[in-house]
Amino acid sequence: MSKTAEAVPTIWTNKRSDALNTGTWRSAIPVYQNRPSPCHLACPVHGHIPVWIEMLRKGLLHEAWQKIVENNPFPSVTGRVCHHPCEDACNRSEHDANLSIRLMERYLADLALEKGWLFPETASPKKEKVAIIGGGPAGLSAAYQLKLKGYTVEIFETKPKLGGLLRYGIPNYRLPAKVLDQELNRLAKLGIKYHTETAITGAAEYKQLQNKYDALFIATGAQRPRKLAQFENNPETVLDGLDLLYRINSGQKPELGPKVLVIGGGNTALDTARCAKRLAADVTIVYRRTENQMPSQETEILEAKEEGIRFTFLASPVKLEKENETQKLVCQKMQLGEKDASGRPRPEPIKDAFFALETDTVIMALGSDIETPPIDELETQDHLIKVDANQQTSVKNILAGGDLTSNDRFVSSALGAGKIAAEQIDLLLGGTGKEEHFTGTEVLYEQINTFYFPKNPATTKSLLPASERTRNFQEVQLGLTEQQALYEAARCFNCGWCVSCDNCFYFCPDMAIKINNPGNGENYTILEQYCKGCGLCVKECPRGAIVLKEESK
Amino acid sequence: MKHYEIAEEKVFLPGHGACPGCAMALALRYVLNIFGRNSVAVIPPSCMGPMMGAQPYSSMLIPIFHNSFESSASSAAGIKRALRARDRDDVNVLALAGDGGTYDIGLQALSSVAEHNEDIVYICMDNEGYMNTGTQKSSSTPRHAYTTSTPGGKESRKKNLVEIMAAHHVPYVATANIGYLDDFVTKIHKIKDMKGTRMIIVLIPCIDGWGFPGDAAATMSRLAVQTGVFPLYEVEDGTKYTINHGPEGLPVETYISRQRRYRHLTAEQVSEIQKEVDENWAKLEGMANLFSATM
Repeated sequence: MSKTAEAVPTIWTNKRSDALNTGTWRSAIPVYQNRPSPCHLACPVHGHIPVWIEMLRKGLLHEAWQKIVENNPFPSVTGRVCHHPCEDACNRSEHDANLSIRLMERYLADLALEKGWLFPETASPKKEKVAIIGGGPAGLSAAYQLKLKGYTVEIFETKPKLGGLLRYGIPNYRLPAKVLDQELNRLAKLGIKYHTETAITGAAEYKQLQNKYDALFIATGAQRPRKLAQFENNPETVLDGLDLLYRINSGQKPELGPKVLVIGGGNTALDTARCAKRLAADVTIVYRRTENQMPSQETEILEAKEEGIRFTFLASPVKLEKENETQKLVCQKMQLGEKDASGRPRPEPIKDAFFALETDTVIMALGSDIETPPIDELETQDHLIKVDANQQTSVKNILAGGDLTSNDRFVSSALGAGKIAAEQIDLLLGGTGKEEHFTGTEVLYEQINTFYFPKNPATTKSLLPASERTRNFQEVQLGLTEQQALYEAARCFNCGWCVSCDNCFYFCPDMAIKINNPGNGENYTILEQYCKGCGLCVKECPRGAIVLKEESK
Repeated sequence: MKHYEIAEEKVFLPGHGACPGCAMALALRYVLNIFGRNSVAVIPPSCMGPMMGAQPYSSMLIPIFHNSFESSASSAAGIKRALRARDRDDVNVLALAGDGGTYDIGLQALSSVAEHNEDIVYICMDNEGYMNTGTQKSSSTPRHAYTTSTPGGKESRKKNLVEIMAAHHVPYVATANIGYLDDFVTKIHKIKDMKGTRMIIVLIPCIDGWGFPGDAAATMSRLAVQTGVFPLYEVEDGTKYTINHGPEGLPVETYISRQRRYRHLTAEQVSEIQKEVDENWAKLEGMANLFSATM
């Protein structure tokens, strides 16, 4: 003992407790983890939704948009037509109401078009070349991702313009052509080589591409409409839905009779019916199941009803009859039976139960099938090209996606397939492939500390009044105002994503959490010498971004 | 979203001896760090002892006087008078006691100090029992709760200390807890700027004594408020009532079913507790209506 220590009476309190190591008491330690949110996992392009919503909330609008386009080159498109599985998965729906993620995306994306924001610079050029067959959403998404990584990318498209179904399959009142053009123009600036009006169909052409390019991505879609044999002989009055949409979107104004029947229950049926209504016709959708089983999106059905479109359910078309000058579609009544492979009750005809509907034009919207590319050893499965989870086909260096490989028929699914294919092509050609941005398990609603989130109703979505819709192709769904977008952003739980709220710091009874300077990597450091591993920070993290990890000594 | 921004002066140090996840350590952090270095505290026997640390270590960078169990209020008042005599009236004097030292053993001294309106701050860390010595009951232990000295559940009700202090017409008495950190911090700031006998009764859900998971002290604090068991309110000068956070329609069952000390309860006893909580709330609301601070 030194002399000075001896001079202090032993009864004095002269030492600080922070010299003591209470960390030795611990059996578990909190770990900051950017965990995947339900919206991120549900998103077909795996968008970093909680991340860009935080940026939007902070007013970092350009940064938020940049975060979106890391995964999706067409947010103005998806901001309008995405089937938004993210919103269906949103944890907020268990609290009050789910977030309008799609409309927030649209707000940022439309702002980007207005401001002329551009995609990031492409990486330094690589020597490998990739050919993309099909200039629809899947092909364009793959082209975009590959171009950003520095590959030479060439797209081969049959039609005069790029866009695929985005251009020729979605009516203008859902996706204005101007919006699509603007987003495609921005993509064009990246330097992807386009070969429009160049059909790749023959085996020799594919062989040639295989030889010339290091990898192929085939996304030629499902172009062959399904038909009913009993209507083959009525070319005048029986039209094909996809063909009708193609003609309307190409600027034609097809002549339809005053009474139109649309056969089918999917998105094409709804799209053609609503288009027909805009061409001043009386429109009824004839579907063999019931409304609940329609594959179409709910909002579509709702909007169609508002526009005065009628529905005849549990009816299957049998034949066309002509009586004097009146043409009639004879239908058989159906009833629901056992569940089929799709999990929906199978419609079964009721014996001898027939009825007729007057009609001038019948539009077939029964879906479409793929044309299998003539490539040796390219395997198919259930009338689709067989691919694995990375969009890899049975042929080396040939990948496929979009409607060619999936019955989903969603724009975002196609964009996602294109992105996944691009990551896989990158891996095949010696790159790093897919990057993981989140770790750990999906954040559940039970892991959100709802005390921190007062209940707030969802923003009311605005639509063009039904009376103003049916005489033109004006956009029906309207976007959010800045105020609405910020309000929605403020409702976000940011599941699993640390937004530096400092709650963990404030709730530590042991002062064992240090706030780091911004931009220094991690937002916080756990002072391991003091942390007793109580888990209060985990519990008080509003969004499940901290987990407790057991320690063994 | 709720967001905290709390300025702290570093007085309370890590390395202290509180159990992991202890609400009292967190409450003490804000009391000490907001009152700051220009303070003196008295500490009777309580969990505050281990929290300060074993000799010669201290987790509190202010002078501490360890008084006898019954004398926290009078010791604090004496120190305050001595400081004033030496022209150091600027120094805050705090009594940091548990419910045993306040509701039971120190009540006589507290009553006298309150009656004189001595210029001290009294923080009662109310964990509803003698949790430091092995979970014996105090007069703050609620009805039907198990303690080692009430193995079949306590028969009498929890003493209402807020009303006792209000009856002394002290300048300020309030309830608080760490589940509502912003409310708690506001109250500490408020009494720091006041004079006279000021008291905050902080509900401290005790992980070991009450029996609930080690990460749930804040959750339990909130449930106590949301079920109406422990409403957060202030009484100024004995007559001015302000309710800060009251029940949100949750049944008491959601609170008591999460605590081991209540696990022996019959459905009948649960409804008795519910009735008691409803009565207490009706009475408090009535008082707040009659004597609103904003009137």
